[in-house]
Amino acid sequence: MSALPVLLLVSLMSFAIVWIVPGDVASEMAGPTATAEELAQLRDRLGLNKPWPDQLLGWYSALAVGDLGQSILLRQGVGAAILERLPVTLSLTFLALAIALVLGTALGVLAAVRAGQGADRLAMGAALIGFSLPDFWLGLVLMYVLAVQLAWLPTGGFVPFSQDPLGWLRFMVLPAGTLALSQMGLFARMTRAAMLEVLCQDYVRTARAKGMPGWVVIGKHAFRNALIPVVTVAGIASGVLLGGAVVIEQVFSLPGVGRLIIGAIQRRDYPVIQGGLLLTATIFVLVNLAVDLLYAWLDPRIRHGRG
Amino acid sequence: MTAPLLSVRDLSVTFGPVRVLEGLSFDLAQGEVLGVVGESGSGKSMTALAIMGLLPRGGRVVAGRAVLEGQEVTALPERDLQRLRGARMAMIFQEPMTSLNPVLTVGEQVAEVLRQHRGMNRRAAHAEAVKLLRLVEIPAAERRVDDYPHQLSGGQRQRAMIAIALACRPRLLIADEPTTALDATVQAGILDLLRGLQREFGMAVLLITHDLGVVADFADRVLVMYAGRVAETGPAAALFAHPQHPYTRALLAAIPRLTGPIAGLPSIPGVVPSPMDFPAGCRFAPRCPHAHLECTLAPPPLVPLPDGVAAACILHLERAS
Repeated sequence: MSALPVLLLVSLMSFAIVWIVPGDVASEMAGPTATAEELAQLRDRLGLNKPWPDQLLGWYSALAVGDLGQSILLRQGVGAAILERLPVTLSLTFLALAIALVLGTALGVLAAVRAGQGADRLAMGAALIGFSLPDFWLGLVLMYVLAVQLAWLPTGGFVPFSQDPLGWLRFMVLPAGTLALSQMGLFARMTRAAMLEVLCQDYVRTARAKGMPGWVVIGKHAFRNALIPVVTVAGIASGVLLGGAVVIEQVFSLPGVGRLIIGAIQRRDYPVIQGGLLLTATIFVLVNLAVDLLYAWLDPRIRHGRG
Repeated sequence: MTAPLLSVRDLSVTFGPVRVLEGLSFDLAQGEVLGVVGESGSGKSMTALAIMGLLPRGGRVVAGRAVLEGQEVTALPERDLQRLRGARMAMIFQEPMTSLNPVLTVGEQVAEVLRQHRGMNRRAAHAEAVKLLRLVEIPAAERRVDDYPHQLSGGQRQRAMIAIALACRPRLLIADEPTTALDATVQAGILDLLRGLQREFGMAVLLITHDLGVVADFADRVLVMYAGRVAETGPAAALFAHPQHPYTRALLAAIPRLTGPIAGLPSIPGVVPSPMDFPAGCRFAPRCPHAHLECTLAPPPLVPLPDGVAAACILHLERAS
C-alpha cells in the first residue's frame, strides 16, 4: 500500500507551502496597504508566530479531526468551501473519464480490428488531433458552436445530479466532453496497441478454432486482456483530468474546486491552497487505489498472487 | 469404397509472393489416424490451419481444396466456417501454456463452446464442462472447472484444451504437436488419453508431429512432408518397415537407438530451405545423398509403390519406367 505514505508526504508539502514561498506570507496575504497591527493579527490567526514544530503538530491535530482551517477571504471553513464545490469537480472529472474510456477504447478496438485500413487511419488521426488540441481552445470552439450558435446546450452553470439528473447531464456534457477529448485520444492509441498485441496471441486463435463468432473473439477474448494495460493508464489519466478540470471550470464558468483554488492563488488565500492541494492528491490516490482493485478483478493472475 | 471424411486435393498456400504449401493431396477416412511428419518449416501446421480456415494474416489458399464431409471448407465463407469449427472439426495446439485465455476460467472456456454449438444454457453447459474435464482425467474436475489456466499444470492445460476440442464430438480432430511442449512423462499420458478418446468416439485424427515415435505409436497412416510438399505417404507399418524416400530414411536414421554403442546422434546435414528459396527441382536434393543432376530440374511426382506407399523421388520414377 503506497497510498498512506503518499498522503503523508502531500500533507507535509501542503504544510510547508507557507515556508516555501518567498517572502513573508502574512505581508503577501495582507497586501501593501496593511498596517503592522493587521499583520500581527493575521500572523496570529495563521499561527505563524509559534515555533514550527508547534505549527506542524497543530496542522496534523487539526487534520485528524478534518479541520482544514479557515479561509481568509471567504469567511468560511476551508473544508466547507471545498465540499460545496466538490460535486462539480468530481462530476466533471469522472464524467470526462467515463466518456474518454468508453469512446477511446471503442475507437482503439475499431482501429486495431481494421489495422492498416481507412477506418484505422481515420480513428488514429482523430485521436492525434484530440490530444494535440489545447482543451481551453477546444472548449471555447465547442461552446461557440453547440451552445451559442446552435443553442443546444447551456454555455455554463451547474445543477447537482441529485436534484435533476437530466439537467446535470445538460450542463456537464459539453465541459466533460471537452475535457475527455485529449485523454480519449490517449486511450484510443493505448487500446489499439494492446489489442494488436492480444489479437496475435495463441488464445485468440483458440477462440477462433472453437468457432466463436468474430464479435465474441474480439469483445470477450481479446478486449478483456487488452483492457489490463489501459486501466493502468486510466489511473494516471484521472490525475491529468483533475488538473484539466481547473481550466475547464474557468472556460465554462463552473463553480468547482478548480476555480476556488485559482481564486485562492490569485489572492494568496493560503489555507484554501493547502486544503485544495491535499484534496486533489487524496482523490488521485483513491482513484489509483480503485484502479489497483479493478486490475485484480480483470486479471486473475494478480488476484491469486502469481505471475 | 465410402467417401473419405476429409479429402485434400492439390492444396497450395501462399504468403504474399511466397508459396509455403504446394500441391498437397491426401485423404483421411472416418476414424482414421493420419500422422503428418516433417521438420519445422515443412508446412505441417500451415496444412492444418488452411483446413481450419485459420491461416494467419497474409496467408491464402491459392489453389486446390479441402473437403470435409462433402463441404469444401477452403471455399466456405467465414460465417459457415464458424459453424463447423469446434463442432465438426476441432484443433488442439502445441503450446498449452498460451493457448488458453488467462482471464477466463477453464470451465467458461469449455462451456462457451457448448453454448455456441449445442445451444446449452449456462447451467447445463457448466455441468457438461465438469463432465468433459472428468473425461480428460483432470482430477477434482468439479473444483478445477472454476480455476483459471495459470492454476493448472502444463499437462492439465493440454487436457483442458482436449476437453474444449472434444466438447461437441467433432468428426475430425487436428492435433498440432500436442505433446511437444510437455515433459516426457506428461507426453505419454496425453497420448494415451488422445488414443483412448479417438477409439471411444471413432473420430479421425490428423496428428501433426516431428516425433516419429509418436507416429509409430498412434497413426494408421503417415504423410511425410518436406518443404511444403509430400515426400512420402503410406500405411504406418509399411512406411516404417521399408521407407522409400531418402528423406524418410534419413528421418528414421536420425532416431537415436537405445541399443549398441553410443556414437553421436546421427542427423540430416543442412536445414529445410526457407520458402523464399525453395530449389526448382526436388526440394530435398541439396541434402540428399542420392541426388544427381536430374533431381534439380523438375519436382518429382508421387510414384505409387507396393503396399499402398507412394514416394516423390526420381529413384522410383526410373525404376517404374
